[in-house]
Amino acid sequence: MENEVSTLYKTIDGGQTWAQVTPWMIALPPVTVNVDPRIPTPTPISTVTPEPTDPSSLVFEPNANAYRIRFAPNTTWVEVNDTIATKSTRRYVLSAMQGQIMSVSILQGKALTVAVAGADNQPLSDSRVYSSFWRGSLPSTQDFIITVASYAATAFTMRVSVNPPGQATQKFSFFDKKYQVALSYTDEFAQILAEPQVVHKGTPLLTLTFIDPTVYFPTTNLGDTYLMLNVAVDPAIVATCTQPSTHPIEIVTGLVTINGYSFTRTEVNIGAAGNFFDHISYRTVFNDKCFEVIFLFHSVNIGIYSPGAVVEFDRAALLKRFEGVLDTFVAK
Amino acid sequence: MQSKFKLFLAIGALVITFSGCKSFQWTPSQPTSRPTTLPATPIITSTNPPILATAAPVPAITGLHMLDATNGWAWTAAQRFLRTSDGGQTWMDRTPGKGGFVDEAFFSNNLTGWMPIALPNTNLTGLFRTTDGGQTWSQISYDPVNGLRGPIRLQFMDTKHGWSIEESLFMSREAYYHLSETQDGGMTWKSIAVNPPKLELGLAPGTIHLCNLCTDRFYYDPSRMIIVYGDMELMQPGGSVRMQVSFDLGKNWQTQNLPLPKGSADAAVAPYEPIFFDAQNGLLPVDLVRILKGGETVYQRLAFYATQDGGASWSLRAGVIDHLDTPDVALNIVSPQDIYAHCGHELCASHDGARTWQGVTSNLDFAMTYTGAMKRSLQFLSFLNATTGWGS
Repeated sequence: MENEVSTLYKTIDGGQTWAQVTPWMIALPPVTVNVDPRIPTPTPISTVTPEPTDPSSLVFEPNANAYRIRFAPNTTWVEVNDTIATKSTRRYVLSAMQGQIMSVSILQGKALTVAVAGADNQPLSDSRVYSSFWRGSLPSTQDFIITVASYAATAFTMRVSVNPPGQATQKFSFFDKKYQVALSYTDEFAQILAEPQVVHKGTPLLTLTFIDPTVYFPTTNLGDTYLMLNVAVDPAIVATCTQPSTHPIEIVTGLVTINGYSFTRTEVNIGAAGNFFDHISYRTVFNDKCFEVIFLFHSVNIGIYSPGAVVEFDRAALLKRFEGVLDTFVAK
Repeated sequence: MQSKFKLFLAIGALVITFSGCKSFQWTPSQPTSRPTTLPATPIITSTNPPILATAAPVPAITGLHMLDATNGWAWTAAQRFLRTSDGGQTWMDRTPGKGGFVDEAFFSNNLTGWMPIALPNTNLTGLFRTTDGGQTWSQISYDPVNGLRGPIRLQFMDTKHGWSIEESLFMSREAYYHLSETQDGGMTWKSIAVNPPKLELGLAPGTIHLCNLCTDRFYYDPSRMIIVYGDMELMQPGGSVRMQVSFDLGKNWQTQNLPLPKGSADAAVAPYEPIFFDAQNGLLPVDLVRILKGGETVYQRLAFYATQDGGASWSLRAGVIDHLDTPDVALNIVSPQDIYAHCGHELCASHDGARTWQGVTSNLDFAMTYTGAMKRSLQFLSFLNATTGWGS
């Protein structure tokens, strides 16, 4: 946008007729700036640390009216750190090839939305859907436009990944240095800052959401999914780590050994006003730390939809994907 | 930057009205030990490179405020600050420094203004003032600075008295507001001691903590503080427009739950900041959005609540604009009566304070469209009065 040229319109009849004004810069004597070094340095005001903003290396392309996203050599994804004004949009463009799997996700979640379209103006994301992520196979080799829209002025982080040709997924790794715990996940998942409303015993270290739009409404009755990795070091919590919670009442559904760690598996199913919240928790104690991995599937009673409008989401298939992440759990 | 400019418009409207309002009471408190003296003669003078071309196009304007039919100010995407004195036909670059943050400012007329800026090229930041229409900018204080901790909103009631609202964002979700006031034209500033509606462990005194991603909104003037809460983080309808109002710097807060328009009971609320035209009369625009859990947008509406008692009570105005196509709808509140907003392919106008709306059939299509790029023919609107306006 920095390189764009302005077109101004003017109306004198309350907006019925807009006349184009072609504004021009005029030459003037230079602006004088008087800086006074004798002003004492002020005492800093105690305040919170602002979120770091990345002086982005994004280059604006006037033809696309968007910022060009380029991957570093030999990389297949990038995190774009940018800011957006209230109730505004930011556009990004990148090139990819037919058949490649691309994914776009916003770390800040639902306060921002993404829409993906080809440069040929063919939308790839469902315009009926308000979503902070998209993932899918690209129909042709061309430029693709990602439009981020926001209701809030905010800095945001957008992950954009394009898998190598012929490769269905790529892997991302998470490692918490303080608590020495690691998980891996595919590009079907993305990190999200929002903390889901789920009973948990530990402090969240990582929250993921599944970003394949085809598993969600309006294709299915699935609304939200989350995978949380939490940790607790409070001895009282560690001592009762694998005991089921009573608010709400969890049911122990098994003992599972994954990579040598013995997890207690519990489930809770909460239904309210046509909404179903399906919690599945895995908890283990290791090195005096209570680790828990929680899956949350939020769906809507399919009976509220017209017959055939949506299908019941495939819980078993989704569970398999989530368990695939759990299978990578390693703690030291 | 556009949103900040909208704020500027609101502030401008407020000050113009307040300056002539006898009932408006404000008793500024005493300044503190912040810098108290300003040398009469500046020591260092730097200049921008001269603008040589007379046929250079104007960079993309992202904010525009016309003071009258000929004089106005504009901000550009390239961090330039422009002035026009011929109704927008030609523009002068009045940017203080280069490469700095120049998107927050307050101008009381076409000559006098304040701008908190950061000048990376001189490694200096501070509040700068002009009294000659931007030809000369003089540093008058280090505070409030812009672009370092967060955006600054400035407002002056006259040449001496003003206040600033400093917003700091943390992890995008959290928004912290810190208030300061000046009685000497911006040379010294003192924190305004306000109490938040809810005590919070570890929160710095005088700090208001809200949820940025929820689209919570904060308004301050010396007569009142208003917080309007948004639902947009989780998109869960709250059943009303939830608001807290204080008339004593937060010693007491009044909670209000404003009813939603008929047919919008299941909406998530995305409020704007309220706008006051004088001590008593103000408007609160609110976006009402219904999005199913799966993400399908059912409706987006723009409603207005009005107060005639300084914010103590609010009533829903009858006019509601429906079918907003995207969140980035330009809204221009020109006066208590005159309001313009995008509404699909048309421009919608109200000339009775949002009691009724009329679609304005225009030679421009105002919808968000793909024309090689997804954009509107006019991204923002800046009306001077009910008939004369500019857009870009």
